[in-house]
Amino acid sequence: MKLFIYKTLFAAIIFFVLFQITISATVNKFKENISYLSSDENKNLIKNKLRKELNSAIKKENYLNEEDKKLIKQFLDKVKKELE
Amino acid sequence: MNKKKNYNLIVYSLFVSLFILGTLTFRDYGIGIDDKFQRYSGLYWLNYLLSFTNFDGLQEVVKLKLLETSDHTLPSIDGWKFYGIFFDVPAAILELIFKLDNPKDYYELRHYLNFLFYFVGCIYFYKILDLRFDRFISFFGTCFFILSPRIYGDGFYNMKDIVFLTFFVISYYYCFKCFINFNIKNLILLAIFSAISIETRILGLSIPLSFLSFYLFTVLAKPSEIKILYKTFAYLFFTLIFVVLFWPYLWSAPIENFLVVIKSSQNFILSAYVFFNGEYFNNDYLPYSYVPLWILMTTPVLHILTFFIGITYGLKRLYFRLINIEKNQLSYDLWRGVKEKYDLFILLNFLVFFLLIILLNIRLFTAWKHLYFLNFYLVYIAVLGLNIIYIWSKKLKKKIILSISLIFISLFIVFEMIKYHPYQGLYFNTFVPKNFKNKFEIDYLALSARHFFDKIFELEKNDNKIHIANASWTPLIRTLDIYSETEKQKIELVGQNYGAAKYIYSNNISEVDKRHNNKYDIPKGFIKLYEYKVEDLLLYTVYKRKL
Repeated sequence: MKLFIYKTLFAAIIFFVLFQITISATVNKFKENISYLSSDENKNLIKNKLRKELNSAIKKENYLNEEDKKLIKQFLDKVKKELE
Repeated sequence: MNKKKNYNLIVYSLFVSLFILGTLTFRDYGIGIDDKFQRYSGLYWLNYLLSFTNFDGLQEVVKLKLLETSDHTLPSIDGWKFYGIFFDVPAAILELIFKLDNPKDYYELRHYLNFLFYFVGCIYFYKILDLRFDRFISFFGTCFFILSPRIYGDGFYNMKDIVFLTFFVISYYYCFKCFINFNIKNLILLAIFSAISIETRILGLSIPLSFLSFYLFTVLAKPSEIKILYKTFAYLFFTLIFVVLFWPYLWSAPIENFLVVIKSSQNFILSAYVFFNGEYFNNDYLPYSYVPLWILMTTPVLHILTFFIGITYGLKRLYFRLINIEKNQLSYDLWRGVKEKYDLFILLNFLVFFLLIILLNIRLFTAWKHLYFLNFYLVYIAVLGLNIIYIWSKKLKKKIILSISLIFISLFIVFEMIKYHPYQGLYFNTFVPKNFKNKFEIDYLALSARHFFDKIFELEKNDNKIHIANASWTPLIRTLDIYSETEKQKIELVGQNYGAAKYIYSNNISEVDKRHNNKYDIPKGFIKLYEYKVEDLLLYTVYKRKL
């Protein structure tokens, strides 16, 4: 009986430690990522990145290359035609 | 006989020196950001206690002081009602007795009282070692405890963690006394100090829990020990009674409010970003290395080395006890004598706490300040390691070499602590590279803010208003309290309104991730005026508007 209690206790501790460093650690990492994505810091980061991209787009003489220009024009013409 | 006298003289000299040192230096320490809250909490509970008496005049004075104390940076007392009263209320009473109205005086009184608590903790630590080890080890072990720079420094202004550490140590002393002699006197004293520890910090609950667990181990090994079950229940019962008695928060609804405390303990520490190893981490998701790295960096190397010897020895001994359980019929399963029981009690408590804190991702900040009670275990296990070295040295007849080495290393730590004065609470050991130290949050309690204001008053001797912006989370307004009304009037704190500021105060304390949030970025138009460093630790930086 005595040995059984000690062994159970030992097994429970090992199980707890293993659970925490494997499953629980993964869940925590996942929770941390979600928390970071919805945090104010991340929202600010995205907003700032967007501002930076818009600014660099304005400063560039030609933002689109010839191929993209053609493609977007064709696409817009198609949509326009369908809407008419 | 003469040897014993000489030894007692050396021990007394150690404590007298510590007492004199603390008495002479307690005024040197800065005013931490917690000082104001602790005072507020003390006055709040004193007002509550006075409401049961007829001292109406006194209560009016306390109420007036409460009104004067509140400011926008202080959290509402309703959210923090469960703080213990064993330090704060006596401090508030002493403030009234000595009629202290000058903030500098009543804060310094609290610092001195804080030191006295720490001092009592050191005495009890010595008493614990004296129960377990021989005189040589008890003396040097106490030196280890005193020469823990972070604990020593905080002994002057940390009114929560150091007070808890002291009651924790006293509880363990009576716990050990109960292991030798479980009589009614030791039982009641253990119950009283367990209750005070629980009231000071809910983590004090570990004391009755571990005591109970060890009783179960005892019964498991020797079923005849069941005969003292009633004493164990008596201890738990008295602890419960004293917890309610000593904790005014529980008086109105003991069970309900106790459950509130347990529930709130999960959010006891604020959720914020912490600067750790050069990165900002949300303290809900700290890396596993947080506590071990902080302890390794801020504990003297001597303590760390002897700790590893002690823990290896303790674990090895436990392993052999476990594998020999069946063979052993005469004594207890996990320990032989009472001294071994003390060691195991400390070792298992340390391992349980350490594993739970790391694996359960407990929310922490300000280094390992909230875990300073672990220093008791750390130093005890280090002393166990020292004892092993001492036994080897005696066998090899090299005791004198060990004594000289210990004196030499202790003096080196003393020298280090002098270099850090009055910032021993921010100590990093000699093995931490210079540049690495500043990758961590340093002066969380803003002890250096006093130095900052002194410097500003020195720079601005005219009568003009000085507008100061704050590029950190530090509530500078709380330090300003200790200055005269004229000086306070001269300072205008403008928060993060940098446009209105002449000076900007900055440090690495931030509740947001500075990489993605620019609220603490220093705007253009300011130049660095000076940096305040102690032993390569950058405590704060001041920027001045370009003319």
